[in-house]
Amino acid sequence: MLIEPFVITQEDSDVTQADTTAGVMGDLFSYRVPKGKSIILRPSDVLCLDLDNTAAAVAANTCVVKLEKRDQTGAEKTPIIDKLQYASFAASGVGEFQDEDKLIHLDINNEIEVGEQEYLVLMGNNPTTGLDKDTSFMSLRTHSKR
Amino acid sequence: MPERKKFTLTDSDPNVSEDSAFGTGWRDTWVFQCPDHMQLLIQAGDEFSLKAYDSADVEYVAPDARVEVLVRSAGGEVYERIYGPDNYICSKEFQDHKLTAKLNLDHPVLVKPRDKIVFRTSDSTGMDAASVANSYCRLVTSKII
Repeated sequence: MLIEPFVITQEDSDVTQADTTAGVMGDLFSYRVPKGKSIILRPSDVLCLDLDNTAAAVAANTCVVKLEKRDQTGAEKTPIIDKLQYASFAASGVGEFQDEDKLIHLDINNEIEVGEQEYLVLMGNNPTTGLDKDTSFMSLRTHSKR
Repeated sequence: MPERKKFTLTDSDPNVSEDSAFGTGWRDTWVFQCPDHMQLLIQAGDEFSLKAYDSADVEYVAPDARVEVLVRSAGGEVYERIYGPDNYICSKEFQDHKLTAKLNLDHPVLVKPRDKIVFRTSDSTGMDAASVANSYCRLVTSKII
């Protein structure tokens, strides 16, 4: 088994993208772990976001963001980051991807393995306009095992 | 007892070849082949920076621009990822150490003679010879002497 750094971005071929609906917590980016691989989430892992709404403006500071693990059926859900305001990830709506002092770490105490065919889903609830899958982007800096 | 010495690998290293053919999507933009007399030891915390321009001479932009770095065996049949595939914005800083991308390795990676370090880039516009020439990268790591 080889554990190596791995970053899940919105462009990964195993990610499904979808616009969200205003005022409703919905799936924006859904990553399904491919066969033969698993994701090892650690408390030191980092999630970076830059979110835009479907009206071509930045997401609201009060937009609520969640990251959750789902089993293969999608029924069993484990929060990895639970209901954090977008303002935690961004200054004036521009997401932070570089400054170590400002990056958001996962809200877990122990290592969590996301097995093959399980899901990691980034969700958002933007108050007056939905989130745009085409102009929003993310980096989840973690590790994979193969 | 072997010693380690700081080693800064850049795209202008004589052992680096570049892909100057036009292409979109993932490409091996720069490939460093470790010479016979050298070994590198890549470790967690090593710094990586990359500045990239597309064939329209515009700096890579989100959300489709991404970067990754692999260590490949000489024949290319074995590889290990040491960075990415992350959004371009994460590794574009060369000066401020608080902002530069650090390798998030679980264990040190030994780059043996003839092994390759491959700097890969991807965007939808593509790169050509001129944009590759305008682009540059740097990996601050260690060599074993």
